Amino acid sequence: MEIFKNLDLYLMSIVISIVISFIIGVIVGLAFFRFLVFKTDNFKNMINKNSKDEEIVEIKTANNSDKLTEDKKNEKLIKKIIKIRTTNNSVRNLRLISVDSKENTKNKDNNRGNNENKVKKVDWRQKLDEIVKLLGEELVGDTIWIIREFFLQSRIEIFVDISLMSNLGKKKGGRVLLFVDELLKEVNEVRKIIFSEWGVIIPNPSVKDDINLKNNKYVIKIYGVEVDKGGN
Amino acid sequence: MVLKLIRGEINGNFFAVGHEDAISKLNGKKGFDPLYGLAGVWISESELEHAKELGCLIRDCFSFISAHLQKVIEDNISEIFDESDYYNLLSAFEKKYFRHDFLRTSISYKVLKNLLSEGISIKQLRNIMSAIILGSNYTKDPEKLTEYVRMNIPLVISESFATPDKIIYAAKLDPEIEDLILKKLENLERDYLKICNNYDITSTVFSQLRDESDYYISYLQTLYDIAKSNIIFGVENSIKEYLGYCLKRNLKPVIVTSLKVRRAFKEILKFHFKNVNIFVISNFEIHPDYQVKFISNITSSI
Repeated sequence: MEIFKNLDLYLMSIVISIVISFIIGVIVGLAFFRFLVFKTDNFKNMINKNSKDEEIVEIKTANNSDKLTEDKKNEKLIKKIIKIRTTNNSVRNLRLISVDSKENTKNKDNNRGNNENKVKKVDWRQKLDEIVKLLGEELVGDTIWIIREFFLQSRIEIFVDISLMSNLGKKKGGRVLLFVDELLKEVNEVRKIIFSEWGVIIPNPSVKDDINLKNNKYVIKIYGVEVDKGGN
Repeated sequence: MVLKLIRGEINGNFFAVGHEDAISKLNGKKGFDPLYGLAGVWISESELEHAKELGCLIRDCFSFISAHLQKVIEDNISEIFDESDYYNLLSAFEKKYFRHDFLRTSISYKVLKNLLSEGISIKQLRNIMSAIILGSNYTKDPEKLTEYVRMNIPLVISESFATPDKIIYAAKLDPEIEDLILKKLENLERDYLKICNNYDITSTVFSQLRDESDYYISYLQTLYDIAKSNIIFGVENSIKEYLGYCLKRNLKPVIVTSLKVRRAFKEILKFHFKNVNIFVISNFEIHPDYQVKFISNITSSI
Protein backbone atom coordinates (compact mmCIF):
# COMPACT_ATOMS: atom_id res chain seq x y z
CA MET A 1 0.00 0.00 0.00
CA GLU A 2 2.93 2.29 0.75
CA ILE A 3 4.03 1.89 -2.84
CA PHE A 4 0.71 3.25 -4.10
CA LYS A 5 0.98 6.18 -1.71
CA ASN A 6 4.32 7.22 -3.25
CA LEU A 7 3.11 6.64 -6.82
CA ASP A 8 2.47 10.33 -7.41
CA LEU A 9 6.05 11.08 -6.49
CA TYR A 10 7.38 8.42 -8.90
CA LEU A 11 5.23 9.76 -11.73
CA MET A 12 6.35 13.32 -11.07
CA SER A 13 10.04 12.38 -11.09
CA ILE A 14 9.62 10.48 -14.40
CA VAL A 15 7.81 13.42 -16.03
CA ILE A 16 10.44 15.92 -14.84
CA SER A 17 13.32 13.74 -16.11
CA ILE A 18 11.63 13.44 -19.53
CA VAL A 19 11.14 17.22 -19.75
CA ILE A 20 14.76 17.96 -18.78
CA SER A 21 16.15 15.45 -21.27
CA PHE A 22 13.93 16.97 -23.99
CA ILE A 23 15.22 20.49 -23.27
CA ILE A 24 18.86 19.31 -23.27
CA GLY A 25 18.26 17.47 -26.52
CA VAL A 26 16.80 20.60 -28.14
CA ILE A 27 19.74 22.76 -27.03
CA VAL A 28 22.33 20.23 -28.25
CA GLY A 29 20.46 19.83 -31.51
CA LEU A 30 20.32 23.59 -32.12
CA ALA A 31 24.00 23.97 -31.36
CA PHE A 32 24.80 21.12 -33.76
CA PHE A 33 22.58 22.67 -36.42
CA ARG A 34 24.27 26.03 -35.99
CA PHE A 35 27.72 24.47 -36.15
CA LEU A 36 27.00 22.43 -39.24
CA VAL A 37 24.65 24.48 -41.37
CA PHE A 38 24.58 28.08 -40.29
CA LYS A 39 28.29 28.69 -40.79
CA THR A 40 28.56 27.29 -44.29
CA ASP A 41 28.32 29.47 -47.38
CA ASN A 42 25.30 27.62 -48.70
CA PHE A 43 23.15 28.80 -45.85
CA LYS A 44 24.19 32.41 -46.43
CA ASN A 45 23.50 32.07 -50.12
CA MET A 46 20.07 30.63 -49.35
CA ILE A 47 19.23 33.74 -47.38
CA ASN A 48 20.56 36.11 -50.03
CA LYS A 49 18.93 34.32 -52.95
CA ASN A 50 15.94 36.59 -52.84
CA SER A 51 18.01 39.64 -53.81
CA LYS A 52 18.25 39.98 -57.58
CA ASP A 53 21.62 41.75 -57.92
CA GLU A 54 23.59 39.09 -56.10
CA GLU A 55 27.29 39.34 -56.82
CA ILE A 56 30.37 37.97 -55.06
CA VAL A 57 33.44 40.15 -55.01
CA GLU A 58 36.76 38.93 -53.73
CA ILE A 59 39.35 41.47 -52.82
CA LYS A 60 42.91 40.22 -52.79
CA THR A 61 45.47 41.49 -50.34
CA ALA A 62 49.22 41.67 -50.75
CA ASN A 63 51.82 38.98 -50.11
CA ASN A 64 53.27 38.59 -46.65
CA SER A 65 56.59 40.02 -47.75
CA ASP A 66 54.99 43.21 -49.06
CA LYS A 67 52.78 43.72 -46.05
CA LEU A 68 53.50 46.86 -44.11
CA THR A 69 51.94 47.94 -40.86
CA GLU A 70 50.01 50.76 -42.53
CA ASP A 71 48.64 48.38 -45.14
CA LYS A 72 47.37 46.07 -42.44
CA LYS A 73 45.51 48.92 -40.82
CA ASN A 74 43.94 49.96 -44.11
CA GLU A 75 42.93 46.38 -44.78
CA LYS A 76 41.14 46.21 -41.44
CA LEU A 77 39.48 49.54 -42.12
CA ILE A 78 38.19 48.45 -45.50
CA LYS A 79 36.95 45.20 -43.98
CA LYS A 80 35.02 47.17 -41.40
CA ILE A 81 33.49 49.47 -43.99
CA ILE A 82 32.49 46.57 -46.21
CA LYS A 83 30.91 44.83 -43.21
CA ILE A 84 28.85 47.89 -42.39
CA ARG A 85 27.77 48.40 -45.98
CA THR A 86 26.84 44.80 -46.61
CA THR A 87 24.87 44.36 -43.41
CA ASN A 88 22.84 47.46 -44.17
CA ASN A 89 22.12 46.38 -47.74
CA SER A 90 22.12 42.64 -48.34
CA VAL A 91 22.77 43.15 -52.04
CA ARG A 92 26.31 41.91 -52.36
CA ASN A 93 28.72 39.61 -50.58
CA LEU A 94 32.26 40.82 -50.14
CA ARG A 95 35.24 38.82 -48.96
CA LEU A 96 38.81 39.82 -48.30
CA ILE A 97 41.12 36.92 -49.14
CA SER A 98 44.87 36.96 -48.59
CA VAL A 99 47.14 35.52 -51.26
CA ASP A 100 48.68 33.05 -48.82
CA SER A 101 45.40 31.17 -48.50
CA LYS A 102 45.29 30.53 -52.24
CA GLU A 103 44.83 26.79 -51.87
CA ASN A 104 41.75 27.25 -49.78
CA THR A 105 40.25 29.65 -52.27
CA LYS A 106 40.78 27.17 -55.10
CA ASN A 107 38.77 24.54 -53.25
CA LYS A 108 36.05 27.07 -52.58
CA ASP A 109 35.90 28.00 -56.26
CA ASN A 110 35.41 24.36 -57.21
CA ASN A 111 32.58 24.01 -54.75
CA ARG A 112 30.79 27.05 -56.07
CA GLY A 113 30.48 25.78 -59.61
CA ASN A 114 27.79 27.99 -61.12
CA ASN A 115 28.81 31.09 -59.23
CA GLU A 116 32.29 31.19 -60.83
CA ASN A 117 31.32 33.66 -63.53
CA LYS A 118 30.24 36.22 -61.01
CA VAL A 119 33.50 36.18 -59.01
CA LYS A 120 35.75 39.16 -59.60
CA LYS A 121 39.16 39.53 -58.02
CA VAL A 122 40.47 42.97 -57.18
CA ASP A 123 43.65 44.15 -55.45
CA TRP A 124 42.23 46.80 -53.16
CA ARG A 125 45.39 48.88 -52.90
CA GLN A 126 45.85 49.41 -56.63
CA LYS A 127 42.28 49.37 -57.83
CA LEU A 128 40.24 51.44 -55.44
CA ASP A 129 38.30 52.87 -58.37
CA GLU A 130 37.11 49.41 -59.35
CA ILE A 131 35.91 48.76 -55.83
CA VAL A 132 33.97 52.00 -55.99
CA LYS A 133 32.37 50.88 -59.26
CA LEU A 134 31.50 47.43 -57.94
CA LEU A 135 30.03 48.73 -54.73
CA GLY A 136 28.30 51.64 -56.42
CA GLU A 137 29.09 55.25 -55.62
CA GLU A 138 25.91 55.74 -53.64
CA LEU A 139 26.73 52.74 -51.49
CA VAL A 140 30.31 53.72 -50.85
CA GLY A 141 29.75 57.39 -50.23
CA ASP A 142 32.76 59.32 -49.04
CA THR A 143 34.47 56.45 -47.23
CA ILE A 144 36.69 55.22 -50.07
CA TRP A 145 37.56 58.78 -50.95
CA ILE A 146 38.60 59.35 -47.35
CA ILE A 147 40.79 56.23 -47.40
CA ARG A 148 42.44 57.32 -50.62
CA GLU A 149 43.10 60.86 -49.46
CA PHE A 150 44.14 60.29 -45.88
CA PHE A 151 45.10 56.70 -45.17
CA LEU A 152 46.80 55.57 -48.38
CA GLN A 153 48.70 58.83 -48.75
CA SER A 154 52.18 58.43 -47.30
CA ARG A 155 53.33 61.08 -44.89
CA ILE A 156 56.49 61.90 -46.83
CA GLU A 157 56.34 62.39 -50.60
CA ILE A 158 59.00 63.23 -53.15
CA PHE A 159 57.75 64.79 -56.40
CA VAL A 160 60.26 64.75 -59.25
CA ASP A 161 60.32 66.37 -62.69
CA ILE A 162 59.58 63.76 -65.38
CA SER A 163 62.47 64.83 -67.60
CA LEU A 164 64.89 64.34 -64.71
CA MET A 165 63.49 60.86 -64.15
CA SER A 166 63.82 59.84 -67.81
CA ASN A 167 67.28 61.39 -68.27
CA LEU A 168 68.77 59.58 -65.30
CA GLY A 169 66.77 56.40 -65.88
CA LYS A 170 68.00 56.07 -69.47
CA LYS A 171 71.57 55.42 -68.50
CA LYS A 172 70.54 52.61 -66.21
CA GLY A 173 68.31 50.71 -68.62
CA GLY A 174 66.06 53.34 -70.13
CA ARG A 175 63.13 53.13 -67.81
CA VAL A 176 61.60 55.70 -65.52
CA LEU A 177 60.84 53.04 -62.92
CA LEU A 178 64.56 52.39 -62.44
CA PHE A 179 64.98 55.93 -61.16
CA VAL A 180 62.36 55.29 -58.49
CA ASP A 181 63.96 51.98 -57.46
CA GLU A 182 67.40 53.55 -57.24
CA LEU A 183 66.13 56.46 -55.20
CA LEU A 184 64.18 54.23 -52.82
CA LYS A 185 67.34 52.23 -52.11
CA GLU A 186 69.07 55.41 -50.98
CA VAL A 187 66.02 56.51 -49.01
CA ASN A 188 65.98 53.20 -47.12
CA GLU A 189 69.48 53.93 -45.89
CA VAL A 190 68.32 57.35 -44.71
CA ARG A 191 65.62 55.62 -42.67
CA LYS A 192 68.24 53.41 -41.04
CA ILE A 193 70.44 56.41 -40.21
CA ILE A 194 67.53 58.29 -38.66
CA PHE A 195 66.53 55.29 -36.55
CA SER A 196 70.08 54.90 -35.26
CA GLU A 197 70.45 58.62 -34.49
CA TRP A 198 66.96 59.63 -33.33
CA GLY A 199 65.34 56.33 -32.32
CA VAL A 200 62.32 56.99 -34.53
CA ILE A 201 61.03 54.64 -37.23
CA ILE A 202 60.00 56.70 -40.23
CA PRO A 203 57.43 55.49 -42.79
CA ASN A 204 58.41 54.67 -46.35
CA PRO A 205 58.21 57.81 -48.49
CA SER A 206 56.62 57.60 -51.92
CA VAL A 207 58.24 58.87 -55.14
CA LYS A 208 55.96 60.42 -57.77
CA ASP A 209 56.31 62.40 -60.97
CA ASP A 210 54.82 65.86 -61.35
CA ILE A 211 54.05 67.61 -64.63
CA ASN A 212 54.10 71.08 -63.08
CA LEU A 213 57.75 70.75 -62.07
CA LYS A 214 60.29 71.81 -64.69
CA ASN A 215 64.05 72.29 -65.12
CA ASN A 216 65.19 69.26 -63.09
CA LYS A 217 63.36 70.28 -59.95
CA TYR A 218 62.13 68.12 -57.14
CA VAL A 219 59.88 68.84 -54.17
CA ILE A 220 59.68 67.14 -50.78
CA LYS A 221 56.29 67.22 -49.08
CA ILE A 222 55.31 66.28 -45.55
CA TYR A 223 51.59 65.72 -44.93
CA GLY A 224 50.95 67.18 -48.37
CA VAL A 225 52.62 70.48 -47.47
CA GLU A 226 55.57 71.62 -49.53
CA VAL A 227 58.62 71.72 -47.31
CA ASP A 228 61.52 72.39 -49.57
CA LYS A 229 62.39 72.71 -53.23
CA GLY A 230 65.55 71.53 -54.89
CA GLY A 231 66.83 73.07 -58.09
CA ASN A 232 66.11 76.69 -58.92
CA MET B 1 68.27 81.02 -43.00
CA VAL B 2 69.23 77.35 -43.19
CA LEU B 3 66.64 76.61 -45.85
CA LYS B 4 68.37 78.89 -48.34
CA LEU B 5 71.58 76.93 -47.98
CA ILE B 6 69.87 73.64 -48.69
CA ARG B 7 68.62 74.72 -52.11
CA GLY B 8 70.75 73.36 -54.89
CA GLU B 9 70.70 72.59 -58.58
CA ILE B 10 70.60 69.24 -60.30
CA ASN B 11 72.51 70.02 -63.46
CA GLY B 12 74.69 66.97 -63.76
CA ASN B 13 75.08 63.43 -62.60
CA PHE B 14 77.57 64.02 -59.80
CA PHE B 15 78.01 66.65 -57.13
CA ALA B 16 81.51 67.37 -55.83
CA VAL B 17 82.12 68.98 -52.42
CA GLY B 18 85.53 69.99 -51.17
CA HIS B 19 87.97 72.78 -50.41
CA GLU B 20 87.43 76.15 -52.15
CA ASP B 21 90.67 75.85 -54.17
CA ALA B 22 89.72 72.39 -55.42
CA ILE B 23 86.23 73.48 -56.41
CA SER B 24 87.48 76.52 -58.33
CA LYS B 25 89.46 74.16 -60.63
CA LEU B 26 86.32 72.28 -61.66
CA ASN B 27 83.89 73.41 -64.35
CA GLY B 28 80.14 73.34 -63.83
CA LYS B 29 77.24 74.99 -62.10
CA LYS B 30 77.71 75.79 -58.44
CA GLY B 31 75.41 74.57 -55.69
CA PHE B 32 75.18 73.73 -51.99
CA ASP B 33 75.37 70.39 -50.23
CA PRO B 34 71.95 69.77 -48.65
CA LEU B 35 73.19 68.06 -45.48
CA TYR B 36 76.12 70.24 -44.41
CA GLY B 37 75.49 73.44 -46.39
CA LEU B 38 78.96 73.38 -48.00
CA ALA B 39 79.60 74.85 -51.45
CA GLY B 40 80.12 72.42 -54.33
CA VAL B 41 80.01 71.94 -58.11
CA TRP B 42 77.85 69.82 -60.43
CA ILE B 43 80.14 67.83 -62.72
CA SER B 44 79.81 65.40 -65.62
CA GLU B 45 81.21 61.89 -65.76
CA SER B 46 84.31 62.98 -67.69
CA GLU B 47 85.45 65.16 -64.78
CA LEU B 48 84.76 62.54 -62.12
CA GLU B 49 88.32 61.23 -61.83
CA HIS B 50 89.80 64.71 -61.85
CA ALA B 51 87.56 65.66 -58.92
CA LYS B 52 88.59 62.54 -56.99
CA GLU B 53 92.25 63.44 -57.47
CA LEU B 54 91.57 66.90 -56.02
CA GLY B 55 90.18 65.21 -52.89
CA CYS B 56 86.55 66.15 -53.31
CA LEU B 57 83.67 64.28 -51.66
CA ILE B 58 81.38 63.09 -54.46
CA ARG B 59 77.65 62.58 -54.25
CA ASP B 60 75.52 60.63 -56.70
CA CYS B 61 72.33 62.36 -57.88
CA PHE B 62 70.24 59.90 -55.88
CA SER B 63 72.27 60.35 -52.73
CA PHE B 64 71.94 64.13 -53.22
CA ILE B 65 68.16 63.90 -53.05
CA SER B 66 68.27 61.41 -50.16
CA ALA B 67 70.66 63.66 -48.22
CA HIS B 68 68.21 66.49 -48.77
CA LEU B 69 65.44 64.23 -47.51
CA GLN B 70 67.49 63.40 -44.42
CA LYS B 71 67.93 67.09 -43.66
CA VAL B 72 64.22 67.77 -44.13
CA ILE B 73 63.22 64.84 -41.90
CA GLU B 74 65.65 65.85 -39.16
CA ASP B 75 64.28 69.40 -39.19
CA ASN B 76 60.66 68.25 -39.04
CA ILE B 77 61.03 65.00 -37.09
CA SER B 78 58.62 66.01 -34.33
CA GLU B 79 55.86 66.61 -36.90
CA ILE B 80 56.49 63.31 -38.67
CA PHE B 81 56.51 61.36 -35.37
CA ASP B 82 52.92 60.15 -35.35
CA GLU B 83 50.84 58.57 -32.60
CA SER B 84 50.80 55.28 -34.53
CA ASP B 85 54.62 55.40 -34.63
CA TYR B 86 54.66 55.89 -30.89
CA TYR B 87 52.47 52.88 -30.18
CA ASN B 88 54.54 50.69 -32.53
CA LEU B 89 57.65 51.78 -30.68
CA LEU B 90 55.99 51.21 -27.32
CA SER B 91 54.86 47.68 -28.11
CA ALA B 92 58.45 46.77 -29.02
CA PHE B 93 59.68 48.51 -25.87
CA GLU B 94 57.21 46.67 -23.62
CA LYS B 95 58.35 43.30 -24.93
CA LYS B 96 61.95 44.02 -23.98
CA TYR B 97 61.79 46.12 -20.82
CA PHE B 98 58.71 46.91 -18.72
CA ARG B 99 55.07 47.85 -18.90
CA HIS B 100 53.23 50.75 -17.29
CA ASP B 101 49.70 52.07 -17.75
CA PHE B 102 50.78 55.71 -17.92
CA LEU B 103 52.91 55.03 -21.00
CA ARG B 104 49.73 54.09 -22.85
CA THR B 105 48.35 57.63 -22.51
CA SER B 106 48.71 60.44 -25.01
CA ILE B 107 50.54 62.53 -22.39
CA SER B 108 53.69 60.40 -22.62
CA TYR B 109 53.48 60.59 -26.42
CA LYS B 110 53.32 64.38 -26.18
CA VAL B 111 56.40 64.40 -23.94
CA LEU B 112 58.42 62.44 -26.49
CA LYS B 113 57.22 64.76 -29.22
CA ASN B 114 58.30 67.80 -27.20
CA LEU B 115 61.74 66.27 -26.70
CA LEU B 116 62.11 65.62 -30.43
CA SER B 117 61.02 69.15 -31.30
CA GLU B 118 63.83 70.48 -29.10
CA GLY B 119 66.46 68.41 -30.88
CA ILE B 120 66.83 65.59 -28.33
CA SER B 121 66.97 62.05 -29.69
CA ILE B 122 64.80 59.40 -28.02
CA LYS B 123 67.37 56.71 -28.69
CA GLN B 124 67.75 55.91 -24.98
CA LEU B 125 64.08 55.15 -24.47
CA ARG B 126 64.54 53.26 -21.21
CA ASN B 127 65.89 56.27 -19.31
CA ILE B 128 63.26 58.57 -20.77
CA MET B 129 60.35 56.25 -20.05
CA SER B 130 61.38 55.67 -16.43
CA ALA B 131 61.67 59.46 -16.00
CA ILE B 132 58.17 59.91 -17.44
CA ILE B 133 56.72 57.35 -15.02
CA LEU B 134 58.43 59.05 -12.06
CA GLY B 135 57.26 62.49 -13.15
CA SER B 136 53.68 61.34 -13.64
CA ASN B 137 53.35 61.19 -9.82
CA TYR B 138 53.77 64.99 -9.66
CA THR B 139 51.99 66.40 -12.71
CA LYS B 140 49.84 65.30 -15.61
CA ASP B 141 50.56 68.43 -17.64
CA PRO B 142 52.71 67.37 -20.64
CA GLU B 143 54.65 70.64 -20.76
CA LYS B 144 55.67 70.46 -17.11
CA LEU B 145 56.36 66.77 -17.39
CA THR B 146 58.84 67.42 -20.21
CA GLU B 147 60.65 69.86 -17.93
CA TYR B 148 60.85 67.16 -15.26
CA VAL B 149 62.01 64.54 -17.75
CA ARG B 150 64.66 66.86 -19.16
CA MET B 151 66.14 67.31 -15.69
CA ASN B 152 66.41 63.56 -15.27
CA ILE B 153 68.20 62.85 -18.55
CA PRO B 154 71.23 65.19 -18.52
CA LEU B 155 73.42 62.65 -20.27
CA VAL B 156 71.07 62.33 -23.25
CA ILE B 157 70.72 66.10 -23.61
CA SER B 158 74.38 66.97 -23.27
CA GLU B 159 75.32 64.17 -25.67
CA SER B 160 73.00 65.47 -28.39
CA PHE B 161 74.51 68.99 -28.33
CA ALA B 162 78.17 68.26 -27.59
CA THR B 163 81.04 67.77 -30.00
CA PRO B 164 82.94 64.45 -29.94
CA ASP B 165 85.42 66.03 -27.47
CA LYS B 166 82.58 66.35 -24.90
CA ILE B 167 82.45 70.13 -25.19
CA ILE B 168 79.23 72.12 -25.58
CA TYR B 169 79.73 75.44 -27.37
CA ALA B 170 76.93 77.70 -26.22
CA ALA B 171 75.81 81.27 -25.60
CA LYS B 172 74.77 82.57 -22.19
CA LEU B 173 71.62 84.56 -21.55
CA ASP B 174 72.12 87.82 -19.66
CA PRO B 175 70.83 87.51 -16.03
CA GLU B 176 69.10 90.90 -16.30
CA ILE B 177 66.85 89.60 -19.05
CA GLU B 178 66.18 86.46 -17.01
CA ASP B 179 65.05 88.60 -14.06
CA LEU B 180 62.79 90.63 -16.32
CA ILE B 181 61.05 87.54 -17.67
CA LEU B 182 60.73 86.06 -14.17
CA LYS B 183 59.14 89.25 -12.80
CA LYS B 184 56.51 89.29 -15.51
CA LEU B 185 55.68 85.65 -14.90
CA GLU B 186 55.43 86.24 -11.15
CA ASN B 187 53.03 89.12 -11.78
CA LEU B 188 50.83 86.77 -13.76
CA GLU B 189 50.72 84.27 -10.90
CA ARG B 190 50.01 87.05 -8.41
CA ASP B 191 47.03 88.17 -10.45
CA TYR B 192 45.73 84.64 -10.44
CA LEU B 193 46.27 84.33 -6.68
CA LYS B 194 44.19 87.51 -6.18
CA ILE B 195 41.34 85.96 -8.11
CA CYS B 196 41.67 82.83 -5.98
CA ASN B 197 41.52 84.87 -2.74
CA ASN B 198 38.37 86.65 -3.90
CA TYR B 199 36.61 83.34 -4.41
CA ASP B 200 38.15 81.65 -1.31
CA ILE B 201 40.13 79.11 -3.30
CA THR B 202 42.88 77.22 -1.48
CA SER B 203 46.42 76.89 -2.78
CA THR B 204 45.93 73.23 -3.72
CA VAL B 205 43.09 74.15 -6.00
CA PHE B 206 45.24 76.92 -7.43
CA SER B 207 47.85 74.40 -8.55
CA GLN B 208 45.10 72.50 -10.34
CA LEU B 209 43.77 75.72 -11.81
CA ARG B 210 47.21 76.45 -13.23
CA ASP B 211 46.88 73.52 -15.61
CA GLU B 212 43.63 74.86 -17.03
CA SER B 213 43.65 76.20 -20.56
CA ASP B 214 42.49 79.64 -19.39
CA TYR B 215 45.68 80.10 -17.41
CA TYR B 216 47.76 78.79 -20.31
CA ILE B 217 46.26 81.37 -22.69
CA SER B 218 47.10 84.26 -20.37
CA TYR B 219 50.57 82.74 -19.90
CA LEU B 220 51.14 82.76 -23.68
CA GLN B 221 49.79 86.31 -23.89
CA THR B 222 52.35 87.55 -21.35
CA LEU B 223 55.13 85.80 -23.27
CA TYR B 224 53.94 87.51 -26.44
CA ASP B 225 53.97 90.87 -24.66
CA ILE B 226 57.55 90.26 -23.53
CA ALA B 227 58.55 89.21 -27.06
CA LYS B 228 57.18 92.43 -28.50
CA SER B 229 58.78 94.65 -25.85
CA ASN B 230 61.87 96.76 -26.63
CA ILE B 231 64.28 94.70 -24.59
CA ILE B 232 63.83 91.49 -26.54
CA PHE B 233 64.16 93.37 -29.83
CA GLY B 234 67.66 94.27 -28.67
CA VAL B 235 68.36 90.62 -27.91
CA GLU B 236 67.36 89.64 -31.44
CA ASN B 237 70.45 91.29 -32.94
CA SER B 238 72.89 89.54 -30.62
CA ILE B 239 71.22 86.19 -31.35
CA LYS B 240 71.58 86.81 -35.09
CA GLU B 241 75.29 87.42 -34.63
CA TYR B 242 75.61 84.19 -32.68
CA LEU B 243 73.69 82.27 -35.38
CA GLY B 244 76.04 83.58 -38.05
CA TYR B 245 79.00 82.37 -35.99
CA CYS B 246 77.42 78.92 -35.60
CA LEU B 247 76.76 78.62 -39.34
CA LYS B 248 80.39 79.38 -40.15
CA ARG B 249 81.68 76.70 -37.80
CA ASN B 250 78.83 74.23 -38.46
CA LEU B 251 77.72 74.17 -34.79
CA LYS B 252 74.27 73.72 -33.30
CA PRO B 253 73.02 77.02 -31.83
CA VAL B 254 72.60 76.43 -28.07
CA ILE B 255 71.63 79.00 -25.42
CA VAL B 256 72.06 78.24 -21.71
CA THR B 257 69.61 79.79 -19.24
CA SER B 258 68.48 79.21 -15.66
CA LEU B 259 65.94 76.47 -14.95
CA LYS B 260 62.90 78.67 -14.30
CA VAL B 261 63.25 80.78 -17.43
CA ARG B 262 64.09 78.04 -19.93
CA ARG B 263 60.61 77.12 -21.11
CA ALA B 264 59.44 80.74 -21.27
CA PHE B 265 62.52 81.91 -23.19
CA LYS B 266 62.17 79.02 -25.65
CA GLU B 267 58.60 80.08 -26.41
CA ILE B 268 59.57 83.74 -26.72
CA LEU B 269 62.19 82.83 -29.34
CA LYS B 270 59.49 81.10 -31.40
CA PHE B 271 57.82 84.48 -32.02
CA HIS B 272 61.00 85.87 -33.60
CA PHE B 273 62.81 82.94 -35.23
CA LYS B 274 60.21 80.72 -36.84
CA ASN B 275 62.31 78.86 -39.42
CA VAL B 276 65.50 78.36 -37.41
CA ASN B 277 65.92 75.81 -34.64
CA ILE B 278 67.59 77.41 -31.61
CA PHE B 279 68.09 75.02 -28.72
CA VAL B 280 67.62 76.33 -25.18
CA ILE B 281 68.95 74.27 -22.26
CA SER B 282 69.19 74.96 -18.54
CA ASN B 283 72.14 74.57 -16.18
CA PHE B 284 70.61 71.49 -14.58
CA GLU B 285 70.47 69.63 -17.88
CA ILE B 286 74.23 69.49 -18.40
CA HIS B 287 76.05 66.36 -17.26
CA PRO B 288 79.18 66.95 -15.09
CA ASP B 289 81.33 64.98 -17.54
CA TYR B 290 80.69 67.56 -20.23
CA GLN B 291 82.33 70.98 -20.45
CA VAL B 292 80.49 74.14 -21.48
CA LYS B 293 82.36 76.86 -23.37
CA PHE B 294 80.50 80.15 -23.67
CA ILE B 295 81.18 81.73 -27.04
CA SER B 296 79.06 84.83 -26.58
CA ASN B 297 76.67 86.60 -24.24
CA ILE B 298 73.14 87.37 -25.31
CA THR B 299 72.32 90.86 -24.10
CA SER B 300 70.02 93.71 -25.02
CA SER B 301 72.00 96.30 -26.92
CA ILE B 302 69.72 99.14 -25.72
